[in-house]
Amino acid sequence: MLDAAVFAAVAVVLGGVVAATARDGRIVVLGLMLAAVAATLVASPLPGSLAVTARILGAMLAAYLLWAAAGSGKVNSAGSAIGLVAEGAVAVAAFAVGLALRPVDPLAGPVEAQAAGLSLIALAIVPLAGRDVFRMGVGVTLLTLGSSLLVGAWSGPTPPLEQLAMAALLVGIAGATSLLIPSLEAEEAATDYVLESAPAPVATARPVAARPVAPRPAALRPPAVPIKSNAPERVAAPNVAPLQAVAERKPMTAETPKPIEPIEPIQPIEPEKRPRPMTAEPEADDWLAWEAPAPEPAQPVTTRSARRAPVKRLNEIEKPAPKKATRSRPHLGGKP
Amino acid sequence: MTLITFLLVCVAGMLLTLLTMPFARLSRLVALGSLAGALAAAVLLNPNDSVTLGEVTLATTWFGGFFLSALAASSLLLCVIGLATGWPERLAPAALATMAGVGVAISSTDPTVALIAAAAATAPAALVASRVRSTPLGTTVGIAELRTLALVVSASVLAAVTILNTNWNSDDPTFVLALAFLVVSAAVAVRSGAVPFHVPAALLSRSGEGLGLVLSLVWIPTGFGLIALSWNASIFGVPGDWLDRAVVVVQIVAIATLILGAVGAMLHDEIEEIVVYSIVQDTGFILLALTARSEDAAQPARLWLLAFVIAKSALVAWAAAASWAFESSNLGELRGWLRRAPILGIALVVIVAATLGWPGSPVFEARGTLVGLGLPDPLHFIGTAAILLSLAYYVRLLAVGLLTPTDTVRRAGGDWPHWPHLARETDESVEAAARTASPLVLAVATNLVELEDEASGDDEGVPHRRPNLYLRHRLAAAWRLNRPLETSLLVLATATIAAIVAFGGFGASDASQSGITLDDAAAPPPNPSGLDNGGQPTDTPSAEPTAVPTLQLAPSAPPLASPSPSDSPSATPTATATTGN
Repeated sequence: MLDAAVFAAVAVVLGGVVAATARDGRIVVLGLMLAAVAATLVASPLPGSLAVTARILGAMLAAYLLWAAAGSGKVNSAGSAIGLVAEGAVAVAAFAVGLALRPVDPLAGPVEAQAAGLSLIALAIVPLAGRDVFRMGVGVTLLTLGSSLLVGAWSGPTPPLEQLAMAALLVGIAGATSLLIPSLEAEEAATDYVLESAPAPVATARPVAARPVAPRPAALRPPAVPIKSNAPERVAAPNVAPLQAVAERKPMTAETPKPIEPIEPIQPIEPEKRPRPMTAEPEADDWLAWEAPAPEPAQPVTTRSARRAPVKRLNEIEKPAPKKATRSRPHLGGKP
Repeated sequence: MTLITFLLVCVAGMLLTLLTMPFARLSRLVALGSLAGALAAAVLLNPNDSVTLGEVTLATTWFGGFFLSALAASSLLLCVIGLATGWPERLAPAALATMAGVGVAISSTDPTVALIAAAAATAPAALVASRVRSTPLGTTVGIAELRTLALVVSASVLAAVTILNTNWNSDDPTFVLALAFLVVSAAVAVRSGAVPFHVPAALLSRSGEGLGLVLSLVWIPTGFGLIALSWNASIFGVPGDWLDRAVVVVQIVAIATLILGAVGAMLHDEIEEIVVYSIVQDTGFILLALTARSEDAAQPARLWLLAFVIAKSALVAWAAAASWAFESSNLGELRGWLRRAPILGIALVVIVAATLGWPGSPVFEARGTLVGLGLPDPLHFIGTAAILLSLAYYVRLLAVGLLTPTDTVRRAGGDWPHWPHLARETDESVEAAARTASPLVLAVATNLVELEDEASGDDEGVPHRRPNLYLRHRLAAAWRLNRPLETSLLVLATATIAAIVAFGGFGASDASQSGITLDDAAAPPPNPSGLDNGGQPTDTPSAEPTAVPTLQLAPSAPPLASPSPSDSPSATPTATATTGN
């Protein structure tokens, strides 16, 4: 008769495969949660109810943190780099190896835990090798779950405090991942475009090889469109205009090749400007800030400190002319 | 209960600070209050406190309390300095989370719990690194941070398994030990940015993290290094070819870190980068403590870790204060900084003294001992070379400060004390002072403006009828004018604390004697390799079920006697690593 640990181990691997291959961030999170919850149950004997509760709550909290990041629209996972079938094959192969392998003899825990742990570690390799922060966080989570399963297999049942520490670790990893996921703009700026060395008035960024432009058939070439330009005749027309003409054509049919999307004129991208270190603009109403700098555009600034205006001495403040004493109330006494 | 109190304060403070983050003022108050509470709880830790949760005992030691107090004090001082130089909004919750994790890790008697908690304590570094996630550099920083986390987690778990289990199916048992030693050393090296893993640290220095650098590069690596060192001698102190090869690899990394870190600090012109490479260089001593694999290295390693935590925190604070005071962090633009900010100069000298010491001083001897134990005899000159190279970049910083000041430096006020001249100041100047002053000053100045109409006695608005208000007016203006001076004094205070600790003050010498040491008399060290110190097989096949090797940090903590769940009577060498003394 099959042990419950076997079903839990299979659920762990399934969850891992889903997390490693899904494109939708929310499905990835569901897969991770399935793997994390089931990993708690791959043990013999089962841990106490308190420990199981702690692990399940930790898994749910970790999933919620990732879900929040995925639901905010910032997650743009590309899915598995090697495909669902390949990931599944890797997972099954690692599971089989884990069933047969005996690095520790005798095992202190169930062999299914070792198999599931190796499977998750194998699944974590591809995401960890990439440059997608979300998928890398998934990889770290899978690696942690796999390692915890190996600890259970090689060292036996884990005490409740260890389960609690593992839950905290999973939450920490999920929190770190959700915090480190870059915004879409930053991701595109980091991966899709390469800065030209010399800035030009028109867009000078070019797509990198990750998005190759398919050669256009001759039939799709845009007709000659007269270009209204104030430039002298000998000046060549900007090459953006033909692409705009492509965009104005009627939609293509299914048989025709996919048209090339027009390249929008892009504003010149400034060279990377390093943020000013050590300081941050305090809020205007922040009374705990010891300084609320008054911006003074005429002041020359340095390269790394353009955002903070210098402190103006009190005796440098422009003094208005002394005003006449216009008191409506009588003096309280003393010198008249 | 004192340990539980400390953990509760840290966790509650972290959660409250994160929850109140949208409300800046409240968040700062909560953060400072939580850090102060954590410091108080750490100082009040009972050295003989122990709590049993399930099968695991959390036991405190004098050194553990001292180390947590050093972390909390550094965090609090840096956050107070951050009020002036730019509030590091995520540093406080990240520091509190790290302290909670380190607190569990160094007090746990179970190695798995200790190492998993230590790994969890490294995750809050993402809180600080996420500040720059919206930039292209932020993506790279995030990826580096997650990869570091992955390595730390896997290394911790593998090390825990190595300690717990001795039934490895291997012809050469030391191979597993060597592998565990290598991954743990790699985790310490990667987490602390040792050469050649220094690129994430360098990226972090360019991301404008400011005070947040100290979390990723000092506090977290130190806590993790302390856990790694706690059982280093007892587990890896056995001979073996594989282990010796692994030690050689770590020694090479340590030497490269000690030399190239200092070279990097000399070659860079941004003071954040200089500070980062200085920190990187000094983490080489943590690696040397790992390679020593000797109990003799335990006490100097602990003293060095204490000095490292506070001195490098002070160095980061110094860099933040200097950048803020002169509005530039480029060394070329900071020519002459020492003339305008002598207190910052004194603070830097004190930091150098706390880091390097002098012959005969505890920190100097600790560094020398680590070099002597961690490196073979022909390479002992590396210690002297590291000191000379460190002096070179520190002297460069000071020498640049003595040159003719640049316009940037001239424009800044520096930290000389200023006294405002308000003989003919008017309401507008009072309002200007009030606008930029602290709440107390704001209240005073506002009060002054309201009462001036009634109190002024001449046509120029000088409130000579209320001399006390006039004095308060001047005090308010002086408070605002002397903000660089106040910041410099805080940095100097941090540096002074670092120097006192580095020279064994505040009981640091005694604290470093206690804590995580191997007690041979109480229990033999674990010997998972099955070899004695001469490399011969031991004659203890030990058919008895054995106790799980434990980390016992407190002398009073009972050794954990949870039976190994081995379902076989096969041999597991007797291995009870009681590490209390």
